[in-house]
Amino acid sequence: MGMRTKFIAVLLVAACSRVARKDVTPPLTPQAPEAAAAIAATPDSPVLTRDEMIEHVLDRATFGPRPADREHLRAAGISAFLEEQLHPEQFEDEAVTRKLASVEVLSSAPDALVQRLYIERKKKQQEKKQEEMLSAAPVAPAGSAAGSKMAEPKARPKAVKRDYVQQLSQAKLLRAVSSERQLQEVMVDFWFNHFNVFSGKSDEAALLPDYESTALRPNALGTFPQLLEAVAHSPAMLVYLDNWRSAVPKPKAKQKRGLNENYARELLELHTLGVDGGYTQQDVIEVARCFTGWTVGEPQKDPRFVFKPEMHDFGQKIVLGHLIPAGGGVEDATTVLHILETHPSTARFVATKLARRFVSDEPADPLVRRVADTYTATNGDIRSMLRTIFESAEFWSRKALRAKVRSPLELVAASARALNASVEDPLQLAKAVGRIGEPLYGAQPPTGYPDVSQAWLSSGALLARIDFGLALANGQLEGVTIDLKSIGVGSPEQVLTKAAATLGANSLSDRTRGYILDQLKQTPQKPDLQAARAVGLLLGAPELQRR
Amino acid sequence: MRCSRRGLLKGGALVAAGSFMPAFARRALAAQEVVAPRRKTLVFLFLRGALDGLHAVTPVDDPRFQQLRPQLALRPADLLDLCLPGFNLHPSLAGLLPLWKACSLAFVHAVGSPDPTRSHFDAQDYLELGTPGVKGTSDGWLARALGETEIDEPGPLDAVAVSPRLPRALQGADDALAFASLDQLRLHPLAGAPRGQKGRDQARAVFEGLYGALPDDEAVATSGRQAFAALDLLEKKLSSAAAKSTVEYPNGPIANSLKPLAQLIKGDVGLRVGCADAGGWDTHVAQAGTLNGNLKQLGDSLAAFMLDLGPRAEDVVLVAATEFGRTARQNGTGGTDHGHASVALVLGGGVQGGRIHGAFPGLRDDQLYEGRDLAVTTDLRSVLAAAAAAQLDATDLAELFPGFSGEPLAGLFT
Repeated sequence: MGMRTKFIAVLLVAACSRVARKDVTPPLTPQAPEAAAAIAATPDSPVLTRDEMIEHVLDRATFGPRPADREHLRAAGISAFLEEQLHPEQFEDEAVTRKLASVEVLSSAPDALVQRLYIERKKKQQEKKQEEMLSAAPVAPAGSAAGSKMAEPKARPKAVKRDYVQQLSQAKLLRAVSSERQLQEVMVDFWFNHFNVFSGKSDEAALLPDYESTALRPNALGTFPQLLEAVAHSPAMLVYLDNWRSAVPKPKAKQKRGLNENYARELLELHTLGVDGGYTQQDVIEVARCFTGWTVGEPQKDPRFVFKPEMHDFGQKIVLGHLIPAGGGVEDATTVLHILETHPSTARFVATKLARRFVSDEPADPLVRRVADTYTATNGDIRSMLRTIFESAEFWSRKALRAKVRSPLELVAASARALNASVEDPLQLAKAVGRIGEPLYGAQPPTGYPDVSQAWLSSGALLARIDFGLALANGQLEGVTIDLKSIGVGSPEQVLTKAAATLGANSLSDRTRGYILDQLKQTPQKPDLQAARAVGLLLGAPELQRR
Repeated sequence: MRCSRRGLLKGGALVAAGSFMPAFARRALAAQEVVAPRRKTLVFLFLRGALDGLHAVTPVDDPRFQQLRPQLALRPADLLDLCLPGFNLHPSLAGLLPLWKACSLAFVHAVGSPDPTRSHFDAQDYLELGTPGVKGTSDGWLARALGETEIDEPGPLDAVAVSPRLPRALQGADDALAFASLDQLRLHPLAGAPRGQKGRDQARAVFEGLYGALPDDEAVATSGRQAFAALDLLEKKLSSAAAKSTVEYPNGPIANSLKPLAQLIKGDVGLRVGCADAGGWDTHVAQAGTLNGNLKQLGDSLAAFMLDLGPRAEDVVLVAATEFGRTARQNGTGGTDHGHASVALVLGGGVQGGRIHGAFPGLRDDQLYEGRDLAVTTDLRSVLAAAAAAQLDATDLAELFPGFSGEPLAGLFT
């Protein structure tokens, strides 16, 4: 890395350092969760026990409980834990920060990453040219085996891109497993899928580290308007949904160019209003016109946001009934973003998605309404919306308990966390996530990965889940070590009880428990074998697929 | 064009060979193979991202075409002759010409949805649910098609999607299996168990028992039970000689998802519905190059699939369709934007091939949908309904496509 890029990297790191943001709603009261749980109870579904509440909140607000987390919550209280997690800027996260220091793409500026790809591409082109010249030379033996093999140059730019994505995936797993800022990372994953960008498009692999660390993470628990604006300005999104090339049509211009509606449509449908949010095809076109000129310096060399007036449509536009007068420049699109941020459909859409992530696949309408009201009252303050969820009876009802099927990322991270796995090679975990059906940074459509149970329950994916559990328990995932010594002590009953408690499987059905116990009784009574089998069988059991 | 299946056979190829196989040979094959009965199969290949139908099957005689796409339109001399007036084929689809000449391949042009949406996700949803404009439909159209006819011996591989997740079209089909590759289905042995096949079998048996012991109302357990039943059948059948392929497929996602389906069909596992996915059709920018590659993948993969099926091709119909078409005009970035009607490919046994079905509405401004896109003259549901009737005996249109007032496309199948 050259001096200049190093300097920029330092600036970037400084820019996203955390500044405590003032709370716009009061913190959760100490007894808020318990009070909500009491309200949620009915004669048919008794109030959650304290242990159930602790398990539930760790299942939802983190990537899954580590043994020590339970102790921490028992001591600190659920409300205090949630407030802590809602303010990640107020505590250090040293262990994971140290581990992330070796992930190169995180400390490289996007222009450096993009330029490396550019250089590789040039090299490849040159090699190709040289080989063509060589094979055309009369001295080369025609059709020699070596010659025809040489004609296929190594796909180096592709390898570099793959390396970038793998590094990012490793960082994602490291954070999911080891970061203390669990809720923040849950939200980064949530927003990444909400504002999905596919790593396979163009040079996105080089833009994604910056996208995640400057657009998403600093705003993950901030305000929705700030998040939306950061995404709208991000080179990653400008490239992914083609806005960087969208320009006012100029029929006689030498360069072909014209309006591209792709970003405008997804902005309305997926980022803000939702598909039934009350916009028309004409609105899509008008929004696209407002965003003309929002582009990147040069995607292959200097990928940063710029506004190019020569691409902008300076005509008058009408967006969702709002007149945007002729003559406006970069602010046309800013006006659009303001219109969308304050639109009731946006409040409702964001509220629905949050409730779906934290409560259930089909969240109850009253809950969604309350979260949407919080959005409106706080100008989209994400922390406040989460508080509304965390103090709701819906969240603390027995119905919500284990109502969600874990996504592949959640399953893998939760398993590693529960077993306190020591992760020397997070790539092995990332690959497992991919095998179970969620290749990281690999969702092609702008919808991102789904957040409903049905989507993750295919038979093939289920077998991959079981297989992951076996490989992890057996110690066959290279670079991921678990220590089961404390589990393997005592009779099969004792082993099973300890393994289940470690994995948070306190809601095992009698049948599952009985079946696994039988299996353990048939297994040689060696502590390590007993422990590995108990853990392997539990990780693959239906109960453990839920959170 | 005049169609002759003999012409194809003379050409050294493939499709109708089954009907010429001596009866004793067929019986011998059957005796050796049958666990599940030989069934008809419907394969749906979803070209996700909105394929530009005008680029694939080009209306060469329409004077507007060149004007709408001054840079994008290929020169007529570079296109492939379909031996019919009006339309030529993109050169990258050359692999399909033998099937076309054998009348095993038909196109349906100006096909699409009556819904005006230009959102991929809505349009894909509508297509897969089979209810344009209605998002709340709880099951997919292929799931309903499967449910319409009772079959004698339902098995765990009646419906298979080669994809990491179950596609919406199959949601609601309780027995449908989705997997990205056969490797995805293998288990590690339990701790301390023997390595290799023996250990893997043991692990499978243990989990089969665990999932089998759980009640039916647990969705995860139900998925698990199906998975193990499917695995049993797969292992039994995929090792059979008939399932092995000697055909060379191109490298790429389309071929990778069609090849296992061919293996299953040839393995007589009872497959009734197969689903495959192929993305990459959303060509907003510089589409000529992208489509050169993608169409070649598509054509060569389909040709390899049909060749691989050999005599079983007679029992298979494959429909390849997309969620909507693209703008008739090229855009400012050498591509096309989201539009309306596109083209569908229908191939296999019983197809009235060598023809373009459906009416082409023309490209004048007053003929274009909203002044910009190819108009829809054939509802894709008519194509799907015809295929479902031919392959699955699913003929109750009200059940298959609630709210659809059209008919199965006449003349698409013999």
